[in-house]
Amino acid sequence: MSPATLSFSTLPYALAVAVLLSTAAAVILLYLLRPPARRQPVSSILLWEEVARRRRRKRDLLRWLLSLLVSAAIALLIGMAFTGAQRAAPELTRPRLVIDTSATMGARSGGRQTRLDRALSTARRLIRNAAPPITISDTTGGVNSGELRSRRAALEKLDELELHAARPPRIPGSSSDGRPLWVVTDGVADLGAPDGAAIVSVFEPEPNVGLTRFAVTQRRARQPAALLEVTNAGPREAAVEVAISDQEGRVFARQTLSLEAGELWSATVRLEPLPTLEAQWFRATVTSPDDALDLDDQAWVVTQALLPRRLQVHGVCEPIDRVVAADPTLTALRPGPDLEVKRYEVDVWYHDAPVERPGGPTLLVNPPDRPWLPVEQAAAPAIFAETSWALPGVAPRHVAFEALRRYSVPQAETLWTGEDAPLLFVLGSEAEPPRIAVLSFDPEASSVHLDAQFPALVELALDALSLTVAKPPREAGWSGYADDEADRPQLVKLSHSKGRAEISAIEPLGAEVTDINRRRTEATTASPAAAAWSPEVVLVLLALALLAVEFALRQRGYLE
Amino acid sequence: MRELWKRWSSLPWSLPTPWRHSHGTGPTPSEGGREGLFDRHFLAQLDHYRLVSRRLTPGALRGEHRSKRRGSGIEFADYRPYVDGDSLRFVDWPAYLRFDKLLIRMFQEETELPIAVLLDTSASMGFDAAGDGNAQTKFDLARRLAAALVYVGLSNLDRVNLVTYSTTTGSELRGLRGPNEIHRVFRHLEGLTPAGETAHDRALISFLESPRKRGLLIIISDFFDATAQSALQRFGAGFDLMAIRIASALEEEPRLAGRALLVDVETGGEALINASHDTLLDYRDLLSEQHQQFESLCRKRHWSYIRARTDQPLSDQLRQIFKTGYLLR
Repeated sequence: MSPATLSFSTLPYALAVAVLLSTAAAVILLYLLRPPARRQPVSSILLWEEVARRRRRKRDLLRWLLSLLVSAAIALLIGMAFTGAQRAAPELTRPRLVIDTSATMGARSGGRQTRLDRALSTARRLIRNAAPPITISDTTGGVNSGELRSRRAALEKLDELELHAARPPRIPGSSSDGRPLWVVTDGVADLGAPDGAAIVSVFEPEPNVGLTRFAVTQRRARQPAALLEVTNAGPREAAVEVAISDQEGRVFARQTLSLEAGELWSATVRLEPLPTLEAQWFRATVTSPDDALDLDDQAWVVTQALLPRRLQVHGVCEPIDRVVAADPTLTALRPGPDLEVKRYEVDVWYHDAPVERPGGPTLLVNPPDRPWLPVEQAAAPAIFAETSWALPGVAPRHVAFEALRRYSVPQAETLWTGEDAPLLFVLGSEAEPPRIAVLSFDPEASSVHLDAQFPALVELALDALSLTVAKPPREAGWSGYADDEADRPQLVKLSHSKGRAEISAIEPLGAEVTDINRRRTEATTASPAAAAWSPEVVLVLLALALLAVEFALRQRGYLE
Repeated sequence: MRELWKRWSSLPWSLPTPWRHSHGTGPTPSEGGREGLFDRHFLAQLDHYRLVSRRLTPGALRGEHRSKRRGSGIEFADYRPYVDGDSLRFVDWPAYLRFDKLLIRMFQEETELPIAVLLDTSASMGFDAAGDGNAQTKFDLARRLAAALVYVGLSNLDRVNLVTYSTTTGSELRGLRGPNEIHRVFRHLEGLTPAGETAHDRALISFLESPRKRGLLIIISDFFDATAQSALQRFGAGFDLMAIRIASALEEEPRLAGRALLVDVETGGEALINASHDTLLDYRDLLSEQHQQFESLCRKRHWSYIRARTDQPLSDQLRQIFKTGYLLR
């Protein structure tokens, strides 16, 4: 420290306090170690006692005056200490305070305060400088205090605020009634603050790695697969461990990554075949040191319950038999004498077709020409250029899922065509769901029925004919998907009770939760300055403490 | 008075030790290292004073004080007409021959003055403030003053009582009259030792309870007692009172510094003070205030309040006492 800066005011706060305490301790020690009073015989202490009484009265008067002065000085200095806050915050009269309680306000790093904690501290400083009535509300509708008539009530209302991760943050009651609106937020969420609102930011960049997407495909009883997307939203490189497990605690995948700042990593993971037709959930977990936000570190996907379906298979069809044998949800029935009384969901014809157009769900595999069947569709004249698989063995990329899902397939709509010229299409109309699916390929020129793709095609056809349709996985770039909230995979939070995981609530999370360092709402006002304890205040408090100690010692007779 | 002095000098009885030393006939000064209480010069000074009282009270014996009463004195005072029953011995016959009226000659009657000297013998009077044993203590000064006053009273043929007191009245020499009694007084004063606490209220009440003739009352004390003023107020207008306050130099101007634990030699009580400059100023102010209270009290009742210090010559203090009007040349 150079001599120019060597002054009491430039000392660090802790050092200044230490110096003051040391000085006070030395003064007290010297006071206690002062030489004892000398004994002096006198004729009479009559006058001396009266002198002592008079001087005590004078000292008491001086002491009270000094205490009054010290108290006034303390009040003055404390008031000056809070002057910074008053300067930072303009005169607040009847303010409306909105505290951002979105998920990103829970960001915390290194054991420090969360953003919500900082927001509450800021709100307390604002309230102390505000004139009632004061309105306190959050951005998720959990708290709306109405007009509070006292600062104390407003401060107590702040204690009720808590995070609401699932609700989209919005400023409530945006209608302006002439009252100043103060919004305390980290700025990550787009709050839609009205013009004229004072935005106080409590944003601090925090390291954060989180799941931005997690989905599990489910194609009947076939092997499911998970789509995983992890984003490093922090300002620095982070080491991440990713794991996927099921409700039995089995870990399907575990991988350690190193992600650069802002890097996005995605992968598909092949999962174990589902052991049951019941619904179950999968959990993805990311772990990173110094992670600020726990909320986006785990995600759950609940699979749908699988419904068993019965197929009535006409003729000998070895590919269909393989599909039925591999899928426990499918049961093959053969037509017999009691065929009419048997129940089935789909009628399957292989190299054959009913003479009349069937009335129920029917899958035709390489059907012969029939009068009711369009020949041009059965001949498979069109071949699409791209045949790549987005998820191998699960779903082709270019199938018009939109039409399929909504059962609005026009007549003879082509669903899929492969390089080897297999063709899948369904017959239907705008008004009614498809009832007939045609899977056509050239047995001489294609070995698709022997391929691993064939079960996927059969499954796709059965889905098209079923009333319940499994939803396809969510992938980037699929139009019509991002805006459809209901189609998003559901990420659920679990609460653990007595070591047993139970689903307590299902709350979809947006990808913006992970983006805790991206600011969408800019601050318009500086945060009110915190009231700092200046060394002068500490010095005065020490002096007051010494006076109190001296007074106590005098009251107890340890001093004259 | 000179006759009296000659008679004492020729008497065979032994005088007190300091007395004899001052005359060169006895041993060295007293064992305390101080000069004798009553030396030759001391007694020589007393010969020039005469103690009188502004209020002369008739006594049973005739003294040397002129009384307002007309009676059987030798100094002519006035005439008055003869009335039946008057002794023809006092008829002024030459006046009868000149004025043809029977006139009775009146003479100023000479009366004795009852004097009571109350001497404080509490422990505070004997406290040696300097602690070296050489300085004159308040008790020494008080005894000298008491001896002087008694001596003058006896010389005037007044009736003198010498009473000591501390908590209550102690030893008493009653009915002293005539110069011959002075030797007894000296011996009595020499034998006194200061001890005990001061309680003026109890001591003076005890003094008043015994039947006494009103006259001059002399109280010699340091008045270090909270009841001193209230006790003096008990004396009515019938008393002619002289309060002599004895103080040492260190009591008037204490030499203290720093924190001091003062110990009362009488009660053993303690007082912790910080002897700062302001504290000493407060002490002097309080002492002055107390003096003023005593003076005010005595002035209201036409009494005398005299301050005597141990560091001042005895002659000056005697002169101060006699200047108050109680002593006439």
